Amino acid sequence: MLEVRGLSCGYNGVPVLQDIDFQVPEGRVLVLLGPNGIGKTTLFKTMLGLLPALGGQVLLDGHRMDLRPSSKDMRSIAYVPQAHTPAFAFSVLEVVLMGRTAQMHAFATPSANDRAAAEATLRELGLEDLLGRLYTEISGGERQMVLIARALVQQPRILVMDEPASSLDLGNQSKLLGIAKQLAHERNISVIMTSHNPDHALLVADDVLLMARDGYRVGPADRILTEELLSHAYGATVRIIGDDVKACALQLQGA
Amino acid sequence: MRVIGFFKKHYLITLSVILVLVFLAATVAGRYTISPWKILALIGEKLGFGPANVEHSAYTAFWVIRVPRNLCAMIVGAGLACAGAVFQGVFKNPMTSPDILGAATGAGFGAALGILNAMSIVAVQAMSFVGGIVAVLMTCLVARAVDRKSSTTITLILVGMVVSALFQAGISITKYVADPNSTLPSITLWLMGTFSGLHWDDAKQLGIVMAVSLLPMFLCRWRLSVLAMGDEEAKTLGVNADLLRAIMIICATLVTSTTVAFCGVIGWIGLIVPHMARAIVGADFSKLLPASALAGAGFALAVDIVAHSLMQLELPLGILTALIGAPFFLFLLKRGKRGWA
Repeated sequence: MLEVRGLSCGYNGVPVLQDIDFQVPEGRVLVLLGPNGIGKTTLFKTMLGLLPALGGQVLLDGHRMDLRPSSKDMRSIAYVPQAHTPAFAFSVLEVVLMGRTAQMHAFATPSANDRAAAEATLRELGLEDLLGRLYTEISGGERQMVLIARALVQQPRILVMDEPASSLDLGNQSKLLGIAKQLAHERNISVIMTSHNPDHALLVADDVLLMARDGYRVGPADRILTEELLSHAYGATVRIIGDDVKACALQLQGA
Repeated sequence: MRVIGFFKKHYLITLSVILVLVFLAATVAGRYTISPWKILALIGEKLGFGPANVEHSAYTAFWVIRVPRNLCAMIVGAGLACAGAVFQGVFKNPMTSPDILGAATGAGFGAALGILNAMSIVAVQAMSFVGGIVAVLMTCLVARAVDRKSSTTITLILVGMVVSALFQAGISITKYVADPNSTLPSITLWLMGTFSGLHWDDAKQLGIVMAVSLLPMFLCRWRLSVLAMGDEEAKTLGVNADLLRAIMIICATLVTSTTVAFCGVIGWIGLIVPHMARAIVGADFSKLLPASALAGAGFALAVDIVAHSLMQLELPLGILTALIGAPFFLFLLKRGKRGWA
């Protein structure tokens, strides 16, 4: 279980977020929602050890995490960044193999075992067609899926995803969110993801962390994803519609 | 296409065979022609197959002049190509070359200063080496002072350009005050690069320094691939990005400064050879580094053959690498729209 206790984060000693508390038990999906610039990415970076924490701590199974890269604790957290095009044309298999780096000796190159694991993971996600392709030449949706495969070969207990569905079309969004839910519920992984779209939270979240200008709220999805709280956090009139599948409807301002 | 596929798969053998062929061509070519049979006889003699029965001048041309010179060319070519590949990965920019942080201009300025003060050849080499190190140190320290926290890569490259310009001005001053009849031509020649006049001792020293600086690159070859995906990703994947980059900067600076100290400024090899290698083996450093080393060695040798056999007088290498490198680079730019394969 991942637990964040009294965490303050920010840049150059100036806090953006203060005193954040939440936990992600195994097998649950926590979605982070909030307006632009509220500090979702900053929180992620601090949890991943990319930014020094300004206070508080991150706990893994009750003990304080060692946030240095390549520490034993960091091996159990896998990070799926927003897909970008790298400067060099690595093959899809090479990109997935990078997920094994933390488990490899410092001077080693991937072994046959690593290769087999990478290929198996690609197959599990239904991506075997991408095996011989270059990472720079596949679509954005495929790239995002390859990054998830890379995170999974790391065999993580916690999966952190930054806006995984933001640039995807509807089909890929539903595929990706389905996988996120499946990973949590079937493999018992703790999944934490940010999203711009409250609909994603309505679809997959077990718990929601909703950030607003005057503070944040965290709790089970049905308690946080209310018209009142969402409207307040985003500064817009939001209505939740639908029965089976719920979605947010926006009311235009000034109209 | 199948033939190309075969060569690509067995790239180490293919590139090694090409390198041996270029090496043989380099020993045959030159104003004093030695027939391949004489070369075989000379090599056979060294290996203990009995006397070669070859005139003494051929022996001298082969063992004393051409072989050490060719060895130096290969060592330098391999070193520059690997340093270039590593810098391109570390800075995530395919347009980077190993002198991007000012190593080459710093070393050039050191050498120019040494020649201006009529120092011995060893002293000039030492000055050149120190000049390269000082320039890169300056770049790193200034970049750190300018930008203490956030993304250092762009700052580092920009500061490198500024420091390069500074040392370039220093070179211009030494040229301006140099004696146009003696020191000025020497400085100018040094800055254009050559492998002529390099002997076994030079080959040994070059070999040792290059081996020491290339070893960390080869050891960390997989982590270099991960680092090329970006700092944050590399860190979350378990690579200590800052440490790895610092070590690689030190190694590449050693390569560049040593090269300038022994052979003068030889541009372009570190920029274009990694691209050739990437076209053969892809972006993964586990394959890219050996391929770059072999291709760099072959490229430097080939350019050196042209340099000493194209015209009556010996052409400076820097001119040739630029003449070959610049058009090739434009070709790459056009092709690069498909991504740096």
